Amino acid sequence: MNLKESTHDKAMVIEIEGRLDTTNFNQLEKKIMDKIDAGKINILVDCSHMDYVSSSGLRIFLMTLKKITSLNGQFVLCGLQENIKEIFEISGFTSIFKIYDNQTTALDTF
Amino acid sequence: MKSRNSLAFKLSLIILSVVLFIFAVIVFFNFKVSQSLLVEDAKKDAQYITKLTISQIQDALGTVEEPVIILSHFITDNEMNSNQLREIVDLMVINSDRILSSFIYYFRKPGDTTRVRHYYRQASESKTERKIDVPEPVLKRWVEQLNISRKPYWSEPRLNEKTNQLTSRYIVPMFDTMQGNAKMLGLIAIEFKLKWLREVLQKNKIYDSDYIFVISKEGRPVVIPDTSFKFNKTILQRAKEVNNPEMYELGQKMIAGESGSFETIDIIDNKRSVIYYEPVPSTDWSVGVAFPKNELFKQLYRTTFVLGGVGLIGFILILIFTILILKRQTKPLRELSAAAKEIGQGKFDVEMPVIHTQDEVGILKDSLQNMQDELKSYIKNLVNTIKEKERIEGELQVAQQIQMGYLRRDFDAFAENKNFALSAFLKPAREVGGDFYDYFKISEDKICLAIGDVAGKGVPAALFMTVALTLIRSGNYSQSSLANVVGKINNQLCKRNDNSYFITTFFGVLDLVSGDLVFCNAGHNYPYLVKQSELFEVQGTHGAALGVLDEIKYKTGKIKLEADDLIVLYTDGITDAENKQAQFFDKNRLEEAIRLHALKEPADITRGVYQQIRKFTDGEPQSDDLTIIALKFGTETNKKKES
Repeated sequence: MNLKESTHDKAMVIEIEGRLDTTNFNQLEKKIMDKIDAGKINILVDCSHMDYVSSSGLRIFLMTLKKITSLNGQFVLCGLQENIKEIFEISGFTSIFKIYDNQTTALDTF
Repeated sequence: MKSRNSLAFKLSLIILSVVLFIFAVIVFFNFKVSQSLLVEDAKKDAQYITKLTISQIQDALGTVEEPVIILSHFITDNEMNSNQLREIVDLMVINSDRILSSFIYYFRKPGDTTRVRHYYRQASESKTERKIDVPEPVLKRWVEQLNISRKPYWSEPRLNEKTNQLTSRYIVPMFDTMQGNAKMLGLIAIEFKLKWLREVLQKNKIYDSDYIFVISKEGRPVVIPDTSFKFNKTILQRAKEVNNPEMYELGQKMIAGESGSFETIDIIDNKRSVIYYEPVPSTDWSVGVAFPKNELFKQLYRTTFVLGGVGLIGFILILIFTILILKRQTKPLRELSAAAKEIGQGKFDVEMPVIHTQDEVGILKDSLQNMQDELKSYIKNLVNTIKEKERIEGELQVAQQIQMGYLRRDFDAFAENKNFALSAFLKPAREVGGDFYDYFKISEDKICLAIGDVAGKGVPAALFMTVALTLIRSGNYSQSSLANVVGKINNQLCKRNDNSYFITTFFGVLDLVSGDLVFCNAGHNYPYLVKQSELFEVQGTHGAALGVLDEIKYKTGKIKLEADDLIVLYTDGITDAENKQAQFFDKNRLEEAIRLHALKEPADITRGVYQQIRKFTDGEPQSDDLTIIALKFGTETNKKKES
């Protein structure tokens, strides 16, 4: 999995490429936690190139949401592929997370 | 010393080859320098002897020449008669040990060579003779010669046949001084035994075989050591005879009155010699002193031989000591290398050799020792870590056993005398897992079925799962609605859930009489329903997974089961099972597998699906917990199986 980051004036954007599963979820966890510790509490995760997410990955999203929300920041997702959307729906995450189609739309909401 | 490859041997060989080479060069150089020094010395000696010889010759000849000169003056200064002349001739042979004979060749009238009177006296005879033993032409030649040169003259050496002695005559010309016209009055001469000269000069030897020789103006031998050198030959003739061009050259130089040194094979001893030569001023003779080279160098050869011998012994000693010393010095290295080898083979406890030096070997030993200590402590740590790991693994295995102990397996007993059959299969991926299932009686006619999957793996997930399981079991299903119970469980799980673990769960409450199945899906993958050989997904999510967000209001769904209907609950470990080609088992294959086994008993169904998965993964390691539950409704009660 590759993580790409870019800074926009409104928020920090992290792009996930590949699978997010038990073997690499720590990578994402560390990156996001470092950003939060550095004060970036507005984060957008772009999942357009994320092919798969396991429950460990979902856990990270949940953790991030709880943490950022407690700091009064915003944590938003965009570009979810169909199969990922399904997982999110089944696990009930769609009602909990703000999910958008693309980066532009997502960034507008900050 | 181990083998030819040992360090000590190699070093010794190299050092000593170099030493030997340098030594050989030194000896050679020394030899050559000594040789040339000796030659120079010899030349100096020769020069000295030559000069000595010349002065001796001159002295010796002087004793002979002087009386003749005095007598010649006497003759020229006075009127002489025969008697007086006879007396003079007698007088001259008085030193008979050197003089062989004397003569006076007198003109009756000064300058008149036609009328001459001979006065000849031999030392061995007792009276004067009236004929000189020199042929008249020779006398006349001398007269002519000396009339011009007006100087005394030493004649060429000649073998006196009568006495077989080598002689030379000192001839003094006399000129009329009284009348002032300087006409020649005659010749006065003595015959000198050259042997006497030789005897005088013999005493000047330095070595054993050096010698002095004197040659005349024409190169005839005047003094020569006893040899077979024929006296009537000149040095040049002799040189040609024996085909010795060097000697010829020497002869020429000597005859020419030059002085210097020369190297040649001499004809006396036939040895390579250094010859120093110088002319004798008064006689036109030339003196040569010869040093045979090997005589000259005898001492040098001896010295060099001794030097070489001593050197060889020294060399052998150096060799022995070098080998011994090197062996000693490299002993620490050898011990170190042996120790290192042992360490390399895994014997970390090998004892280091004792080395006290501060040099590179000492440093090496310290480094090696440090390395050994580090290795030992590393190994110790490793062993401890492994022990710890094994302990943990052991505990995890126990934990797994405990966990597995939670899961009910009394399917048959549970369903006994009831109108359903049930089987469940759970295979954890690690020692402890995050999947669970459970079934229990709510009331006489109601049973509850649950399946769940904790997000994450390992001990944390297992612990969370245990808590969830406990909560599920202790739910108040009889008094509350399923939705409420699920909501309560969710709230409990949300409390103190800092690590955001959550658990997807599916609950089902089955009324065995009516066949109604009330279900609540909290984020879990949809189960399957096989009704009359048709497969359906039981879709619908009634709320988020448990532990995600608290105070969620859950809903429920309802379906009605009829006889032979099959419910299959599973976790995503089944659909996520991967093979070597990175393909997933997926829902398609699952559906296919379910269809294949749908008509069987639940136990066979779960087993069958699992086999299918195993065939698919074909040895690829299991990455997630696998759980599958099959419940068939309305089957005849399980007769007690024959055990």
